[in-house]
Amino acid sequence: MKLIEVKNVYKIYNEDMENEVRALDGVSLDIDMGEFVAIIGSSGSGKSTLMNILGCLDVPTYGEYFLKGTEINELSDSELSTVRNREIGFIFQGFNLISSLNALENVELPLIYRGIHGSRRHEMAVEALKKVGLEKRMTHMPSQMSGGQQQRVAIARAIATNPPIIMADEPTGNLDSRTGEHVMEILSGLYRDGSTIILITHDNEIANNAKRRVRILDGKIVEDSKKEAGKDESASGV
Amino acid sequence: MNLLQAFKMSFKSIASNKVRTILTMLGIIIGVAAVIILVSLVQGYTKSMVEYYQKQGVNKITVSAYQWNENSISDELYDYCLSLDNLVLGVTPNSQTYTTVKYQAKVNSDCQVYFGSDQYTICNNYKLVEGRDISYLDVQKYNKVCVIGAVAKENLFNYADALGKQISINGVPYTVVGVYEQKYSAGDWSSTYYDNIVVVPYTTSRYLDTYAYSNMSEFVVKAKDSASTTEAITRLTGFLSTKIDTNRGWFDVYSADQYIESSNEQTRMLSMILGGIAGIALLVGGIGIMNIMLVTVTERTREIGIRKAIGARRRSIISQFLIESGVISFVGGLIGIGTGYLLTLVLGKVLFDMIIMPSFVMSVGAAMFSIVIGIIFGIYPAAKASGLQPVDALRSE
Repeated sequence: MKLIEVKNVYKIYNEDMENEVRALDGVSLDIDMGEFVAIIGSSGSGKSTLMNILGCLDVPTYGEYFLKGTEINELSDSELSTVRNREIGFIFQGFNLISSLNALENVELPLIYRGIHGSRRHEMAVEALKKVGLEKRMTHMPSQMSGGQQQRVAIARAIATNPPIIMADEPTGNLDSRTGEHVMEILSGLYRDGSTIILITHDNEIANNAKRRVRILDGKIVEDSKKEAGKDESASGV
Repeated sequence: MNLLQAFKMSFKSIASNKVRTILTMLGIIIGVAAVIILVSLVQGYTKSMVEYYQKQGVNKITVSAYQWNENSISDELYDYCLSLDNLVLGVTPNSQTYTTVKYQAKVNSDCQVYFGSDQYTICNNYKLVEGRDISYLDVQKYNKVCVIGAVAKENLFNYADALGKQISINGVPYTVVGVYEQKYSAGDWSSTYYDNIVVVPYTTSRYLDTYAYSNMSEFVVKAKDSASTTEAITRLTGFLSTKIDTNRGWFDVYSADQYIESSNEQTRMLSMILGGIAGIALLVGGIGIMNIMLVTVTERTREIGIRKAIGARRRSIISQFLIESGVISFVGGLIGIGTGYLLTLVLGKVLFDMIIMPSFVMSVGAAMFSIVIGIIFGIYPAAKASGLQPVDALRSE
């Protein structure tokens, strides 16, 4: 089943002006349920713009984006919030934890916006923290934790609502290689448990964790391992 | 997201920056306290003025009448007032003199000697505790008798019996026939004026102060009620205009009731003006909240972005910021009320020597007003925060 369907999407800044920038220049991409996709590109390639659009944080200038069959362009600000809350868990390069809240409270936040109350919320948040091995640091503030621990809290926050899609934007970018590997292991584990993982990275080695690799350059998809595999199949069929 | 959760979040973020929160509250605290203090003090002062006039006696008409080179009008006025007995309870001259009052070796300084009629007591709202009033006969017969005030009695006799004793007024012996009840509380400044008195029949003023005797021009007429007061003023004015040639003299009839009314009007104005000025302080406090909330929004742009990314709706962000500003101003308002009460009590005691309590309604009103201020001045920052695009907010650092 097609979870994500992007059809000929453009994101253009300062359109028709001298300094026009085409961050996305006619991108089409399908992602199925349960895939582990890496979107690879150097900085300025448009990969972050693509992730913002896939994550419903931004809307395309032109083109269509269907998430579970729903046209995202037509949703209001509040509906987009609801979609993000229910369908997508975000993991950012800079962790993006709220500094005035402790680990548990950070993980509870998406559950609060989901409308889950009381002990059930607490249980779900603790459950998510257990999955990333941080059940002993629930009351720590972000400033009292290492980068790896903070990123694990962020992962717990992303998975607390059990969203079908996990979007990770350079999740290892601010971590040393060993903690980075640990974070990738957690993501691989989530993939094995059935989540759809979309990983944005500039690092080919990190991208090798994914089953499918999509390379983007100057706002265009230049390589998609899935399509090539399909071509190979048809080629071998001949 | 439910309201309780929104409150929890707001408290959390308020508590995370205590110094700033307190400084922000300070504007509201000062504003609310200022409103309460100023309005309460003016109201308390008004109340004390009204009480003062009531002790002096209501329905009291003061008549001044003087004609050059003529005998005092006192007897004629006295007779005229008797004819108004459906309106008037009593009439008395109200002239006075400062003179030495002695009992044996004891000298009562600062004592005022009043020249009164047999109706002096009722006209000036005194009460007898012992003895009798000056009688009509005393006035007619130039009897050297007197009624003394409570402080005068204490100064001259201490706790000994005063009735029947002879005191010396300016060297003239007078017999004490009555003692007044204390009118003002001991130590009150009014008491030194109105309780340290000796009242003698006005006709005997010829022994004490010949000038006062021939120039008796101050009178007090006591009317039955406020309607009679108005009527009596009209009658007395009419009577005096026939008796006094304004080319050779003057007269004036007025009631303290009118004075109370105009003074009430003045203090109401004063209270409105001062309250308004204090209200401006409150407004400035509200702008202070808005300013800080705007700074907070800018500072927390990234946090707002994160919250929106993980599913906060516009409504959640708006209510979080509105509750934050509302809570800051409400807590500020409560502290302001407390401060206002305390300072009102202290200042009331120091400035007017009174226990002044701010009105409950005003306090509740001030608390409500401070919440309203917080919410009104929170709307713009909250709307600004909620309108941020998550992608732009996340990009900010």
